[in-house]
Amino acid sequence: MSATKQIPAVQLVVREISAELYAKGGCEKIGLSRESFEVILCEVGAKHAADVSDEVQESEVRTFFLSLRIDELALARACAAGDNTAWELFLTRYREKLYLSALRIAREDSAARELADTLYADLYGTSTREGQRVSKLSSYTGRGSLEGWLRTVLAQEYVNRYRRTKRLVSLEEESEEGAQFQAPQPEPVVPADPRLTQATDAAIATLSAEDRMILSSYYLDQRTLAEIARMLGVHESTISRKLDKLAKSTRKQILTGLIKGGMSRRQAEEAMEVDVRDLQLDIRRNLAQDSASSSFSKRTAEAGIREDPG
Amino acid sequence: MSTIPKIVLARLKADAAATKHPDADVLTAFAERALSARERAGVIEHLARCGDCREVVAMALPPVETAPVVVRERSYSFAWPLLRWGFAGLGVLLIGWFGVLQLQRSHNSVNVAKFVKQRVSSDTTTSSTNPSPAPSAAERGANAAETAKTSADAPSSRPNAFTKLPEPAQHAETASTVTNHQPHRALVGSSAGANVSGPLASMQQQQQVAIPGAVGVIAGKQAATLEQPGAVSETVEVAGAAPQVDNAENSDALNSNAQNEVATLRDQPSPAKTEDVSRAKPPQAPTASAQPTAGARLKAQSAPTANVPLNGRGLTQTVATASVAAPRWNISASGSLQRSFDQGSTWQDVNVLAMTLPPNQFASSDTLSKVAVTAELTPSKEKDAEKKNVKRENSPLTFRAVTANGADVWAGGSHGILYHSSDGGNQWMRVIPSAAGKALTDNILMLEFPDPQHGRLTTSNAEIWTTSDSGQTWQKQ
Repeated sequence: MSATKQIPAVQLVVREISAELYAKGGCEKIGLSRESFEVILCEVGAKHAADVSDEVQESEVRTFFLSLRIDELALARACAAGDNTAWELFLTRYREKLYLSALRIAREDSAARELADTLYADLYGTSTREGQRVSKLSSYTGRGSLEGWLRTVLAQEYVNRYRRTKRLVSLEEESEEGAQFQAPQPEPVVPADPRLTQATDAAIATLSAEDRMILSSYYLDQRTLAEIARMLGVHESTISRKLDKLAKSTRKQILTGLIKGGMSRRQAEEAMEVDVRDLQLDIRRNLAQDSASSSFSKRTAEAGIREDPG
Repeated sequence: MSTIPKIVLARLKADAAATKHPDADVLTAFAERALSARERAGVIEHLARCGDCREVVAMALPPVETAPVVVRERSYSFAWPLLRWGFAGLGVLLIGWFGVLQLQRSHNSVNVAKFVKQRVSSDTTTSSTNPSPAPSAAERGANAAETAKTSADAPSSRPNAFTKLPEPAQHAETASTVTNHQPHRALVGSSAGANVSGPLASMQQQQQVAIPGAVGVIAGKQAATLEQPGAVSETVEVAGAAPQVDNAENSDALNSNAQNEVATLRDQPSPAKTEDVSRAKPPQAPTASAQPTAGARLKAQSAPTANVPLNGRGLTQTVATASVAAPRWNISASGSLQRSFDQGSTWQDVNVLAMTLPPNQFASSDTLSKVAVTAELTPSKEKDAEKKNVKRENSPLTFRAVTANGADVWAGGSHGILYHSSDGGNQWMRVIPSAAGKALTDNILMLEFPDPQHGRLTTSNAEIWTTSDSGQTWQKQ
């Protein structure tokens, strides 16, 4: 890969353990030479080192290599190199799983087929770079399972696609939704008290990344407790308790911040409540910027622009 | 759950930073918890800000691995229903088992009866219901007879022992044209009445002189080993033939077998004293010629409740039923002893003197007590001869009283004559009651033998003599 940077520690370790890993990965059977395998290892190690930090210890690298799923990495890279045996093996193992995953993500058969087919094209490598077919499989580094990676890739593909298609809403759908006859947007209410914003940001800043992720997942993404729990690998009840605690503590912190900012307690509470109501609109506007809730005229204009080149 | 101020969500949303998305690789590793703590923290930081990546991670979660949870829940949720059903099933099984037990218990008595019958049938080498065991039964009987025959060493006793045996051919002929009485007598005699029914019922009016054939056959076998003279061997032969006859209609081959057996045995004994059978009125049916033969005295007990010890099996009923076929006894106006095999329709005189065993001879056979006999079939042709034979010859005996208890017959009369037969009147023995050195000489007017051992007689002198040992010793009262 382009990112390959010669890192001495990585190369050292690769040279040391490549034989062991080569055997472990069963690379011979799927047509992967020792040399190319070592190149792959170096690339993966360098990428990892780049992700973490440039100063990696040998032991760290060694641990990293040993934690890789070497056999799946070898298979993916052999497929990327176009080895038929490897492809056969890959399809035998993952074809059905890939489709099932697509179905779970898309929740609809035809969409799932389409999604899976798109991914297959990517995996096989339809795009070319410098005359070389580039397979998406070559970006797999064996850090997680190949199956999980495929799911993630599918999900990424789906999210991208969803984003694209979500913007293309037909005129009929618009009228059905009543968007055409939508009342003119009311004037935005008085923007939130800067003191409130400040206090909120301060409160959020005290939260850990995980807490913020939980809050976002639950309140913004509308994930279920079970889903969040599985994402983080903890029990559902843990998430539930955490959410409860977070809501309380955040409210308290904001109040404290507001009071510190010179508000009376009552004022602070009122500000929070009032602004919460107003903020609903604010949120919607924020969301609209990201996704679909832009105004009708804007969207039609967008659609027109898209259609023109087509 | 507490609600969170919307401002917080708004600020969270606003916090979304456009940092570089982690690779699919890393996200996968994060979902699979394969990242180092440092990397994980970085990914979480990104996820806290990036809704897209959160969505990707959420969607890329592996299918719900409910297996362990489900299994546990199943184990709980299935445990109770399973237990409940298990208990219910167990209860049903128990009830069913109990029911079966009860059923078996109720059937048990029937089965025991059947079993005993079967045992008796097989013991007596007879099967009245199953033709198949007949040949073997006949053979067994014949074998026993032959054994007895070869071991017989007292041919001289035979004339006294038996009346004439039937001709084999006629024997079979009769068998095939049997009337009700004969086959059933054979049946009763051999199978000890286990299957008595129908026609036999009509015979229940007869004087209950038992011919416990089963005992007879068993005793016959014993006789063979005990070197009983030919009389016993012939008894056994008849016993073997009887079932044959009974099944004659079913199998001619069996008949011929039996005939052969009989024929071979016929050569052995000298003709019995047919003349000695006292004259009788012409019998209407061949039944009249059926002659129970016996080897020895049978110690039968009184009437229907007779309790003959038979292999300790308590075949009271059986023997009692067998007694149905016993002859009736009577004293004619002229004082002669008569017997009838057809419920009193015809009577034939019994010449007691001619059939009296010498005391010592009788005694020897007395040791073989409980030897009884099956009915012997006499062909109708023989009846005439028999009738002719049955004549009153040198019979100064005047009988005044007769009592029968199964095959155990006592007859008493003028001048203290007292005869005893334990085989239904075919062999007699003079009994001279004496008490305190004085023999009984008075006329015997009444005889009572409630059981074979105990008896009392009343004389014309109003003396009452009692015995408690089958007439061996007497006490005068």
